[in-house]
Amino acid sequence: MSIDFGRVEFDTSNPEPRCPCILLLDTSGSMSGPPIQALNAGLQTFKDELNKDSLAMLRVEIAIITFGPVAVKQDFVTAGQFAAPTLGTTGDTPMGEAINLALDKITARKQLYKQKGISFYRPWVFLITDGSPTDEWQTAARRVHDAESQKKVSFFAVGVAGADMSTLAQIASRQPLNLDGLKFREMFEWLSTSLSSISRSKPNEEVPLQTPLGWGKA
Amino acid sequence: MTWQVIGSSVQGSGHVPTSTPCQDAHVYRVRKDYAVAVVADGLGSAGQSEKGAQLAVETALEELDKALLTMTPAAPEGWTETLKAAFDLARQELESVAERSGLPLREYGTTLITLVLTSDWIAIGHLGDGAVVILGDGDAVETISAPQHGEYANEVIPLTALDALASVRFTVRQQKTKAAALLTDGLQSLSINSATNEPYVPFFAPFFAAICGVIDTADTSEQLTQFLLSERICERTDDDKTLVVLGNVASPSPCERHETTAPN
Repeated sequence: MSIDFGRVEFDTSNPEPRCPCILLLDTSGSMSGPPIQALNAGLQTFKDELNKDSLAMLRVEIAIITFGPVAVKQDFVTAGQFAAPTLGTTGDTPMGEAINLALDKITARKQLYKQKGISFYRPWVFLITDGSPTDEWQTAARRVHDAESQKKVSFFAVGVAGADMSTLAQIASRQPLNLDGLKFREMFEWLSTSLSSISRSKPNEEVPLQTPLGWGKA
Repeated sequence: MTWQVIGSSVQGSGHVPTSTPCQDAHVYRVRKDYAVAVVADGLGSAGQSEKGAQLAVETALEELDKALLTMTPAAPEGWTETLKAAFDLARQELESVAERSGLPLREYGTTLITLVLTSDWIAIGHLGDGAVVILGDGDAVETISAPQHGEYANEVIPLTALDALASVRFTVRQQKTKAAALLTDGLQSLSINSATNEPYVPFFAPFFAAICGVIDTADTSEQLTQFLLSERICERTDDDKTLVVLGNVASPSPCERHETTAPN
């Protein structure tokens, strides 16, 4: 008697673990012109870079919230199904409301994963702004700090020229970064690489994030 | 009661390019009245985890074997105490080696699963991911000890964690068990439903069928290694993987199943 290994079958019904990321993008009036054009080109780069990694295409999930006014431009989709939108600019900068919505969406997404038995990595929120909040942001800031300290989310903030960096520093627990010029392309390459690494990380593996070389500084 | 065991740990294809060693380890021992098997999955994040995993399985096996040679527990509480002592000692050994090497304890981080089978008991201690699946006396295939993990996919409590010993899950049942399989995280997605923890029976059935008959265990373990390294598996999982299968041979006849002369 021996084992017929050819007859060992695999469970193919298990979903890939997911690595959710919300892009929180400032599309207020001040972003018009070259900044929004560079941001749109950056989003295309983001899509192209993620598509080079077959595992990330199945595991990384992207949603886009723009402000203002606050709108869900893209609900969560896997990177393979993500199409880079072309964003326009309008309105003021309701950053507090946008952050609150992002954190709510993260909570709801986790609920859905748990219901469906999908395992997941710590979600990312990536905020990009060139301004200062025009609404009440202190509540959102408290929520970000709580979520970070409870490891519920990793929250990153990037300021484009003209951004209110001192307010950003109060919102994010991690030090906000200044975007070098309009190097959105380089920034999104970095983001794609980081998410790819996380989406294949093994238990208790600390994924060392590369320094934001070539696009940002603290 | 005659027990047969096969087992193999192989390096994941994802680890080969970076020349990371295989961080899984397994050991087992068969005695007249019981069989013990122990598996461990050293954390990818810990630099010495292949040593941690190896030391943990060896320590736990020796401690369990020593205790069981003296006395077989007659109640679940006794089994839990015996298993707990093995985890405790394995943890202490990791502390000692970390101290001697001057490295932080977390560098030796590993999961640990211990299994003891007797003619009428099954006793399991489980910390971290990986699983134990059994073929019960009524031929039902069941995940008796499911993967343990934190909120996130890349989060487990290793034996080196502060709260490790309090986090070990013990499963002790007085029942006859025909066969059991221990596996590490690398095989989980192929063999266990991630939503319900139900075993995928067509994965386990060929192993359970074979282990309950007489096989050449050394030869079959070698074939298991080739299977775990095969393209079919590697295209689905790039992690290190371990499988140990124990079975209660239906018609025990010691001279017939001598390992070197067993028919195939």
